[in-house]
Order: sequence, then C-alpha cells, then structure tokens
Amino acid sequence: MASFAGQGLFDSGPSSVRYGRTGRFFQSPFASGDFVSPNVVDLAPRELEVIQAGRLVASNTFQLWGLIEAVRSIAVATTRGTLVTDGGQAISGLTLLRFEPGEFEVGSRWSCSYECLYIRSAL
Amino acid sequence: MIWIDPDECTLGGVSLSPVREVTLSQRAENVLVSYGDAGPHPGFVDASRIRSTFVVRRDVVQAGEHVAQVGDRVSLAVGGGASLLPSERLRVSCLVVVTKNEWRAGTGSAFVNTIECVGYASVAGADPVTITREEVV
Repeated sequence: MASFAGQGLFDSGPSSVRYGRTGRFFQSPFASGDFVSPNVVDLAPRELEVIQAGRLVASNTFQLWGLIEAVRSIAVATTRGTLVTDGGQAISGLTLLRFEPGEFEVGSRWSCSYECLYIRSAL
Repeated sequence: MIWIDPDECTLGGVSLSPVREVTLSQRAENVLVSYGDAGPHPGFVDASRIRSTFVVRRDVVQAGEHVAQVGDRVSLAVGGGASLLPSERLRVSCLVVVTKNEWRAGTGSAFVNTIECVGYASVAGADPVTITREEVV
C-alpha cells in the first residue's frame, strides 16, 4: 500500500498514482493588433506534478475522520518526502499540496475516495 | 427470501390475506470497487446504500378493496414456515414506505394485487429488517 514521507497514511486502501502534465511551459504563436509573435517561445521547465487517487478505509466513522485528519495535517505542513506507490515505485522530493477527500460511503466498512496533488518543487 | 402462502402478512396492522407470496430482496444501490497500482484486481470492494424491498402478491377477493396507498409509511409483518419442518416459524417485521400498488387481471378469473415496499429503520443507518425464529410447540 502507498505511503508518503515514511508514514502509512494511505495503507488502509488501494490507490493509483500518475504524473500530471509534464514538459515545459511555453508561449504559443499569437498576434495582437499589429504585433505578431510567430514562434513558440520556451519559458521554463514544468515542476513535476504527481496525482494520487485512492480510497481511505476504516472500521467506523471516527477512525475514518482520523485518517482524513492525518493526511490533512501533512498537506497543511508542506512536508517534503518520498511517495511510495501501491506497486512499490518510489517518487522522491515531493510536497503534498492538496488533499481532497470525497463523500463517505458506508457498507461493511467506512470509506471515502480521495485525490492528492504533489509537486516536486525546485524551490 | 421468499414466503409462499404465508400464515401471516399485515401492512399497517391490516391483514393482506389471502397472500400468494411475499419476497424480500436486498441490493446495494452503490457497489464500491477500488483499484490500486499493485495489480489488476480490486484492492477494496464494498456494498453501500442497501435497499430492502418487499413485494407482496395477493389475490383480490373483494372489488374496490383498498389496503395500501403509495407513500404510506407503515409496518409490514410476515410470518410463515422457515423450512419444511413444521416446528419452526420465521417472522419478519419492518417499517416500510409503499412504493407501488398495482392491480392486474391474473389467469382465469383471479385478480392480483401487487404491493411493493421499501424498508427503512427508525434508527438512521440500522438494518430495517428484523427476523425472528419462533419455535412452534
């Protein structure tokens, strides 16, 4: 199961990880009035974006709120660390920028989907 | 779960007799299937938002009789043999909302009234269906 910064925040349920848009920032050719910029202008490399989508699973509502709070506190603290995916791939130097839990679902367990956005910042 | 020709079937305390059969079906409105990066099979599966539906099929013995109205919030009770053993009896009770009340001409001269109800619990989130086994002395 996935972990971040050595903490098993996501080991209660499965998750999948993918890169966001990668490459470079550039300005496309454009024209404004008499001004014409006919070529692509290379601006800068993009920071690496990593998107993790998964499900937090708990045996009751209090435990699920606990899992959510644990991830939220990491997101607020701008912790930098390594994300290890369910498949064992390690992606280092990431900061958790955004954590968005979904609606609670109650079956035999309490669970909610989530999405996390990480970046590998040059700063 | 199905009862054929149950001994007892009341809706809001009113007998629905003669009842041909009563069925109780439960299904998840939402099946959660979550996958991860570890392999092709789901890492988590759960059934949430479970709906309990009762269907009562009864013969109409009197023209114009009216035992239920769609939207009624009433209690449903069904009792009958739990098995072929005559010593055991199963009783099911549930608070329900009537969602369908249909009248149809059946085979021959019989007319059939079909009543569908969806169960709900007085305590939010609890299983609305109560099943008790009774020993017949």
